[in-house]
Amino acid sequence: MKISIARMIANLTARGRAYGNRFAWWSRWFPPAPTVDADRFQGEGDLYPDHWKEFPRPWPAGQAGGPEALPAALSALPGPWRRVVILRDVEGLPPADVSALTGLTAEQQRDVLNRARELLREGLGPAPEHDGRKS
Amino acid sequence: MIMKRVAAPRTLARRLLPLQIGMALQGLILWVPIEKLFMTQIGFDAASVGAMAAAYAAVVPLLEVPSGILADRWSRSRLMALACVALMVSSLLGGLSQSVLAYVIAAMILGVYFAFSSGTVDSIVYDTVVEETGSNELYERWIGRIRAVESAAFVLSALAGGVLAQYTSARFTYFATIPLIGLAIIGFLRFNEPQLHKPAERETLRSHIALTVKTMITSRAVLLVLLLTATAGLLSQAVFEFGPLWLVTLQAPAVLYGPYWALLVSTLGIGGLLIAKLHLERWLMVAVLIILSLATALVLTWTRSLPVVIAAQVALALVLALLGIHASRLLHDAVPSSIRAGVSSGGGTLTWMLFLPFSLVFGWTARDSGIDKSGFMLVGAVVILSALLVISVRVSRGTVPVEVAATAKQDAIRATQQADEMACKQLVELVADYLDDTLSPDMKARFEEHLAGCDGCSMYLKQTQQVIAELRCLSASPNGGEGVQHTAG
Repeated sequence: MKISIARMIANLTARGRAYGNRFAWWSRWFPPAPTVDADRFQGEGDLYPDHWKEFPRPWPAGQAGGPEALPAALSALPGPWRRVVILRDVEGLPPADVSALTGLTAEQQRDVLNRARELLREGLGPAPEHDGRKS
Repeated sequence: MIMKRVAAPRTLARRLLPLQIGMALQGLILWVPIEKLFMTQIGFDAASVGAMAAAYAAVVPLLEVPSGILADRWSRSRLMALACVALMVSSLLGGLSQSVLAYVIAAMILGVYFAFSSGTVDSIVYDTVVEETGSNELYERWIGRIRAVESAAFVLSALAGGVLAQYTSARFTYFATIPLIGLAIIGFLRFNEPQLHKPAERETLRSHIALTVKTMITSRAVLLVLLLTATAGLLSQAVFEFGPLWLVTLQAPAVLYGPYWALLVSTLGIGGLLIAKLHLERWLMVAVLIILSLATALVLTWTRSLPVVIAAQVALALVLALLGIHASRLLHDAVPSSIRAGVSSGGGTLTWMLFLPFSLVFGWTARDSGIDKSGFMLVGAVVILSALLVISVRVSRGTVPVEVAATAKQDAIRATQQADEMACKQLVELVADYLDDTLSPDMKARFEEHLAGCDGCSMYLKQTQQVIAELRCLSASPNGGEGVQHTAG
């Protein structure tokens, strides 16, 4: 039964190379996490691969989702993401200041922002957009 | 390799600390180095060791999928805590067991521990890194650090376990392990788990698996690398599982098991450091490794000297570690990044499937004709491994490695450059860059070109801008602004 322990350390071995640990034998499925769920887009066999299956639904005029929707969506964000959104979009700080305050690089804070804004956009929509297709 | 971004946010390191402590403590399994010694004391022979290994090899893959579902639906750090409970129960039952059957049951419960913990930490670390930095770019570095902590704990427990067994008893190491694992549970429960739960992941998983399996079956190059991985893994497992039986046969003193096991375990780390300096695509290097592995395997079939046995096993384990890493690099070059982990998992499962019959036959021959005779099975597997290695070197020469993209954004930029136009899936990754005006002129042109012809993406951008506008209003309204300020701290 030591095999498994050997296996766990084998994960470490690849550390010599920068990309090594991605191949941990037991790691589950880690494609780079996309900003928008991959199943919102057409697949390889479809007519337009990588294009929207369904366009994002238009929002009704005025404030989308009611006055409480945005604070609710905001508080549902993971802490570090909420922090970046508040600094950049609510308080309107420039990227460099946000980097200094959070310890994130300019690139990292932008990656966070892109993902967080997408979650907020989803949260503001009239109804969850892809519930209909879920089983 | 794009590794220029060095900065790791301070909060990430702080947040992962309890997890690292938990991993270090759960690595302190003191009975591991002397397990085979203890097993012979309670009546195991080589055949029943083989049968136990087979039973165990059957349990883990069975539990892999349910444990994955549990991790997604329930909580990953609690699953780690649960895994530790299984480890404690297994150590307790193992320590109490007086018969082969009781120990096999303990071993199967240990299988629960491995199934629950395998991959769980990887996904915790992955999600935490994404949650703290917005991309997975730092994932490899952090999982590497955690594995380093874990393996340091293994080496430490190997030495400590051997000494403890010498001065108390083999049985006592089982009981001494339990409180350490209990402390690990506290570490896991104190960890602030990432909240990102993407319900769509399971949905795409199915198509992902289909694509992965298709790649594994249809591409001959991938199949070859998989076989190489599985054979190297099988041999590695065999050395770690059955290697101590040589020491048992030669009646080594208990205190020797600790340093022996520490040496064996450290070959894996040393292999990782060494591989960067060796050129396994060169024939000379390949020839050296093949001769070394054949020689060490053959030595194990006839020597009766304890130091020679240990040296041969350590050398063989080192060569196998090198080949295992080499195989994973070939795999890396042969499949696109998106399905790489899945294909690696396939390799892992293949290893289990090969190991199951191997361990049964190995144990059987070891009992009936001696461990040195069953050593010929190692020789046979080494011959197969050598053949696969030679073929793979021939095949891998001249193939261009599949390019690496660490993050979804890099993926999107690369795909756009390759296809010479941007698709919706790529556009959504670049929206923040577009709004910050940090795209390259070329990317910006493609972004705008796509936007002009796509109502869906125009809508997407418009809604994103509306979100930003409404966020800006929050700071203006005194009420909302204050509430938000609060959470910012």
